[in-house]
Amino acid sequence: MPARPLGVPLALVLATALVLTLFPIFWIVMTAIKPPTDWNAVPAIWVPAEPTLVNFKTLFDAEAIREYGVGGVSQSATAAVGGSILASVVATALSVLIGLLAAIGLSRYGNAGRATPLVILSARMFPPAAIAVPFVIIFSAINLIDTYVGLIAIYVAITLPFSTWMLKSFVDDVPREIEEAEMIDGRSRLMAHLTVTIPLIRGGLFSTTLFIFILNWSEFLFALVLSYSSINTIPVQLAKYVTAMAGTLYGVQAALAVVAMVPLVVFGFLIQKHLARGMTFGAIKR
Amino acid sequence: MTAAPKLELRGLRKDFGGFTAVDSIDLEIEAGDTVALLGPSGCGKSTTLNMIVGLEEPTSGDILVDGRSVVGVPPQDRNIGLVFQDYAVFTHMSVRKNLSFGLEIRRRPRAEIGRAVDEVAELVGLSEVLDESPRVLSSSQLQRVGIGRTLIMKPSLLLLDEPLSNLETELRTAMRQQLRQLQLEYGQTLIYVTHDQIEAISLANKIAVMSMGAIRQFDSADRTYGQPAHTFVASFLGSPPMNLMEGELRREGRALCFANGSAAIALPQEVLPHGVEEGRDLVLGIRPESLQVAAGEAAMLEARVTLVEPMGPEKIATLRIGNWELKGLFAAGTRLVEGEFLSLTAQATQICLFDGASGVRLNPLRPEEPAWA
Amino acid sequence: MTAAVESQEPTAVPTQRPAARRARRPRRLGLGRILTLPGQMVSVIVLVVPLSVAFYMSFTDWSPTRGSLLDAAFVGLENYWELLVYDTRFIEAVIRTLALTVVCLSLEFTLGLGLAVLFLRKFRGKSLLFSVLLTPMMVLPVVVGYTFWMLFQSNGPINQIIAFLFGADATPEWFREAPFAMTAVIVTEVWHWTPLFFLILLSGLNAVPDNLTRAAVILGAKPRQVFWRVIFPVLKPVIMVALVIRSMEVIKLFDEVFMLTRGGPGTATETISLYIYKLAFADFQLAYGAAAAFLVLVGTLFLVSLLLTPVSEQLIKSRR
Repeated sequence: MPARPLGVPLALVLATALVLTLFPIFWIVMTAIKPPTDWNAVPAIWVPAEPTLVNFKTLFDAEAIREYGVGGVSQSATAAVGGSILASVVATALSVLIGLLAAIGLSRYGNAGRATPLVILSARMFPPAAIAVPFVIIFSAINLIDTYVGLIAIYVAITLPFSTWMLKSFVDDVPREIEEAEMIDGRSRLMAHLTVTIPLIRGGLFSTTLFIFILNWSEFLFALVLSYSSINTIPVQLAKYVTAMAGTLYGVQAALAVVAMVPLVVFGFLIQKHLARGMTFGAIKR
Repeated sequence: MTAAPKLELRGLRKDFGGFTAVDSIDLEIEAGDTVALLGPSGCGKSTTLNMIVGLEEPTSGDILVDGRSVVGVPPQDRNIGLVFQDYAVFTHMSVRKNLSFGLEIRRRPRAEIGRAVDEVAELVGLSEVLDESPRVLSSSQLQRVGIGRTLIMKPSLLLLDEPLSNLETELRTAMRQQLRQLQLEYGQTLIYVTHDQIEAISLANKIAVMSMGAIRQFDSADRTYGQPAHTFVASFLGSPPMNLMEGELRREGRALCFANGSAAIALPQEVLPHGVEEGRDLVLGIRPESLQVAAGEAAMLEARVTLVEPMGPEKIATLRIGNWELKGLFAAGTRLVEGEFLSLTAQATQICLFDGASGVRLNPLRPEEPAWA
Repeated sequence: MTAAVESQEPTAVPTQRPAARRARRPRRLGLGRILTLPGQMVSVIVLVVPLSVAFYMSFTDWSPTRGSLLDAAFVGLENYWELLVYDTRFIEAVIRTLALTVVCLSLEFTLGLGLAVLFLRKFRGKSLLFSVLLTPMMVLPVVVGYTFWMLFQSNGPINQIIAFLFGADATPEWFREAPFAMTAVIVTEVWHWTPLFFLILLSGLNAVPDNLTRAAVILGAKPRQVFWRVIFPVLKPVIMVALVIRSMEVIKLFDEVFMLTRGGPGTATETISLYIYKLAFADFQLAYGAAAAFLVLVGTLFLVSLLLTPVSEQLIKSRR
């Protein structure tokens, strides 16, 4: 069917979709730049007359936030942002590294049989709330609860299927012949993988890394149940603000939501081409 | 059956943005003909085919089937069938459903569809696999599904896009014969679109050679080969292709000579068409197999043998005269020594002269005769 | 695992000369196993062990207030029996989650497919609009939940628009009444994940060979017929992949609901995940929660396997 142009009614449909898509994001961004007097105004103010960055300042200022300190919210978001960065970066690096090795192993040597996708899918089926239960028990026993090491270990484990299968789908795209040619030149198989395959899937490696980062950065439940006082992440902090009956904290909360969202939206655009691949464990390549 | 049509393209043109894919071509295809549209990829043959079928609308010009214009008529109402290069078989349907697709879409009575499917399956040899999934079929069977699915609509004109190119080599010969056979039984006007000269020659009565959006020659296979109307045709057909040499005419006394620098070929008087004057840039063409070893007076040119490649019953020699490099095709017994000079000649009827600038043939086409025998 | 045992011997593949390597070809497996070993170990240690512990636990009456798990009394299937027969809150959560899955997936699929079909047309700014429409799926679930919690406040913009259109009396208290709270959850979920369907279905549509649709057109099919008779069947495996992956996610739905309603009012929007979370981390009924989790796993496995048979074929094909 030759591509037909878009008529006016359909253009209106797309315009509606665009507005509906952007409205919530517009709202959160607008709230983040509202001065405190506008936060909870009736009727709600859509675009602040005097936009301000004060909420972002308050967010990282323990003193300032204590002023609003209703219902026990006295923490600044500094520790949460730091914790999110630490846990996400380390867990992403480990997950991609281990996943890369496994991807090469599976693609080049594996008989990742008929069952493997099923096994992975069923691992994904288990409600995280349920996996969290034994984790809390075991981690309490070995003193890993409320530590970044414990949180990172879980993040690596739950993102590993994604990194492995996404990377495997990239490795599968590299013809074996290229590695074999390199081996004839006297290199070992492992060297061939390292010097030929990995540079060839650079783009895929980059996309996978960002994708896994998105998953780790977004994670909420495990961070919630494993954190008491020593560790914190942005999603947990955001939930605490809401818990705190924090009607008064709208602007600050929105500022934190924007801080949490911006890197992911940027990363998401960067790897847009490979999002489908990541979300479907490499089943859909483009 | 409906009367066989005549397809006529009049000044047919297609522009994509600033690029002219098909440049005002004219073509008349007689009823019952089998014609090959031959050319390299990007020459505009697929665009031409899409316009005939109705998948693309021409920028200007007209397409007439049986004298009636079909421009603007939707594809399904043109009664023209197309068999795709990749066959485009619906893999989620059985062979039977593929064959009946067109009739079911048109809500023909069930009994009629059943009869038509059986008939067509018989014709294209798919009766045994009617209830199979296309996934288990061989590529030649898939192609026959594509053909059968189209034939069942009884198109007045059938186009086949690269019908042999996706088949394994062994199957090509068989399919070529089947297509021939089908054409004899079906008796309709067929148009093959192909980039493969062997395919074109073996399937079609007439060949339209296209390059850069233009039809360079529309003629029988013999004439396009033996008497190319354009340097493109000369260089596209044949393997190795026709030797083409750039140069100009010189007259030395009564003798006529085609020369470029130190290189020269003595030409028989009758080769020269009327109105071609000295000094004009020309291209001279001689087929490799037209070159014959000669001695003394008979020799037209002297060339140094630079390479000899034995090819079983024949040898291909690479020959050098000044800046020209020629290929010659000789019987295996011919004495050829690399580095030695060789005296050669060719029959006047087998020498072609083209205009240097336009590439158009200058010496008139002769009536039908085998140019190489 | 045999993989772990075998790869402990020093295979030393990297340093072998080519000739030697050829002579000992079976050893090639060694490197493959070494490469996959870390991944396998992580999976075993961090997934299999806890799951086994949880599985054992689900047959006990253990609770953290009662000392060591090893000392807990073995109660057999009692937890499971309790859940399936007496725990109406659990059964309601299951039904609610399934209903939510069906409603959300239908809406997301329909909207995503509609958008994807529109993207087969030609228009200006298409690639930019494509990127923008994908934005929601890149926002983290907690933020999505929080944003919609703000939008649905009684003095929030949604009620403002409703008041403008239908009068101030028409504005609901979204989080105080069950049907409205459920609607809020559904709207949030649909906003968040319709882009994924759009993305997957569009890439599926673009992968349908042009010649299939052209062939159908020449054979006389109208656009509607081309879509339903040719494109849709070819798209089916892709649709299945999208449905399976999304249904698994909705069944696990937690973050957005946690931020929006905490399962309230009452238990009106309580999903299975939220119920299990409350059992384990609010009521400390860990063993009981584990049993609930395994019931969910079995149920999900059963449901997904219904959809999965054609998909796994697709997954394997695409890996070749």
